[in-house]
Amino acid sequence: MTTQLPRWLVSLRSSVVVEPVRNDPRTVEHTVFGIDLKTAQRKVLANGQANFDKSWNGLSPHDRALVYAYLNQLGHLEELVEAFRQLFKDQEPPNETILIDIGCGPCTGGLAFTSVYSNTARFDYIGVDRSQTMRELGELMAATATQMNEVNRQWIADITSAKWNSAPGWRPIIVVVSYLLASPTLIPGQLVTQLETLLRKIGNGPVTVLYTNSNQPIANLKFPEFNDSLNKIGFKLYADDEGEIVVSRRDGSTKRNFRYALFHRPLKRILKLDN
Amino acid sequence: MKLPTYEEISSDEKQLEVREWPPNESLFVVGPPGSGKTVLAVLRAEMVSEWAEEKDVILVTYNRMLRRLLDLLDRSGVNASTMHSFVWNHYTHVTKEDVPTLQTNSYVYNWKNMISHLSQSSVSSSLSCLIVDEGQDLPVDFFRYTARFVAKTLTVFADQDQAIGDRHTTLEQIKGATGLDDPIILQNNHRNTPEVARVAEHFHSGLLPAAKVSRNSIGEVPRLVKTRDIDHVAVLVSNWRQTRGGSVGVIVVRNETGIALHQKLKDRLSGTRVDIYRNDDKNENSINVLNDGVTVLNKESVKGQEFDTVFILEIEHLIPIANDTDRRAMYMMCSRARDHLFLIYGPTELTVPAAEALPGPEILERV
Repeated sequence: MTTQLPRWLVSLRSSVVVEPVRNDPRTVEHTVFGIDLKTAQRKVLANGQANFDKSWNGLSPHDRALVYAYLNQLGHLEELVEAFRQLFKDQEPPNETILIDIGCGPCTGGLAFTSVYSNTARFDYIGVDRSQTMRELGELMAATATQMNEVNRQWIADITSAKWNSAPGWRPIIVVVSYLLASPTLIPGQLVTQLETLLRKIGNGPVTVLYTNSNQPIANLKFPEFNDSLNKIGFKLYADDEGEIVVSRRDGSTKRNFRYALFHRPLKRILKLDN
Repeated sequence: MKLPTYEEISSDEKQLEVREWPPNESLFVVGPPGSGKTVLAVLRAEMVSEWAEEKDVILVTYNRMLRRLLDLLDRSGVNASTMHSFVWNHYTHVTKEDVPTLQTNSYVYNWKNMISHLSQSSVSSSLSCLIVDEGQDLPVDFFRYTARFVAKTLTVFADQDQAIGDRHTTLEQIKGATGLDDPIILQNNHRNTPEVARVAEHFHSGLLPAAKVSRNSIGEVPRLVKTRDIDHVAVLVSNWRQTRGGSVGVIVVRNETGIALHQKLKDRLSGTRVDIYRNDDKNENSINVLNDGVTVLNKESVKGQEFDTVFILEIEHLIPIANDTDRRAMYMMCSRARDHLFLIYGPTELTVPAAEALPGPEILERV
């Protein structure tokens, strides 16, 4: 079955990403902002690892973020939308869920999560991305989506900057780690330690981690360390596989292959005492 | 792509509930105000009592009013006792001697001597089960004594975030003294409205996560009220009781305030139960806090109780918060209210630091 984005999300992408790129006078056939697609992937996006806060050959930081959203976000969204649909089936996520989207890009995890709500989504969103330009594009997309009107949003450059002033409680948390582990500078153990510090601040609620990535082996070299680090703090691996979804493109249906994993840690009912 | 559903992975979280805990095993439970510790203590006592051949289960608690509440809640005849009274009975029974007390304070047991004496007498645990409520307010030596000489199994309910004395016992100390496993946390607050819980949570600090409030809002925000004098307080409380009914708890800082107010309330509320608990009178058995009416108590005796409406008087003596003990006391007192909470001060204005110690007007309405 073909994975399709909800209509509002298609419209949102069209108005904030697709049309601004296509209607830009620099864009001619088979280019984005006048740059051929291969060069755009390799040089403008540096295969997703670019510093999007820097200009490149006449492209502003915002242009570069748009190129990323134009070329890469759709597939990532489709994977996450399918993952969330399977995870929540015909139900909505639990009340008061907190979504931590690590390496959020233009709010990709937040938009995909919103798509599982039948009406206006209600959750707290913490978008983490080292690029300010990407965070700004994320906020633009979220602010334009009326489905996210009731979503409390926080945008931060790294997990340690998260502001959480509420008392620790029992709220459920979903963590999205999508196409992050391919980053050469990322240290999975450190990431998990920082994540755990934030999780403790939020409380004792159940935590689910959804991992997606390219199915290229090189992009997943850091997965074993990520898995071990999560395992050490009580997470259990529920799914770890390569999979595919069928998506619709201009020239027809096509298969999209990717790697995914799902971890879960139940709520902490036991108070660990030092003794 | 094939992922399990959230429901499937969450069902893995099914853990043994406190009520399902085997009766012949010890148990350590912690929970915030309103999480049902006292009720669970009674239910556990009933369950263990049914299982135990000797039916020898005893519920021990901090004060006489809570002992009275346990009596009222229990339907199976399980004995409830204050710690002081229980230990006195146990020690004198097994040693045929008086309980040694400190030379400096004859009300404080000399645990060191007691434990030493029983060690030499090779006394061993004989009671099937001892269940302790509000364990954080009992001395750590009580737990050492109990674990060694009293009960084969122990169930302890505690919340050190609500401890009211300076010399409370921490959860770590309870664990160390008894050998109990790490405690199970109760998650839900079944007592307070979300509005009341928000005020209580303002004063919360400590180990336990904020409880999930399971009740719905009733749309009434707790209020901060300035009063002119004790007569004004009596009018407020009696008018509230006459027009709203239910159970009303009035918490006083100074006992003389409680005595004066009690008389005025009795005068204004004829036909309504109006009680005051006084430690000196030991009159708890004449008070049925489960019945509607007004009960005047101080912060020590209100522990473990709950009322539809709570008035906390003389808050100018409780804020600004001077230390953790005062903070815990405010947390504990505010969380006694099921539906309605009033913080009362006057006739003088609150100082700026005192006013700043309170939650904002969106949480605590100023009247």
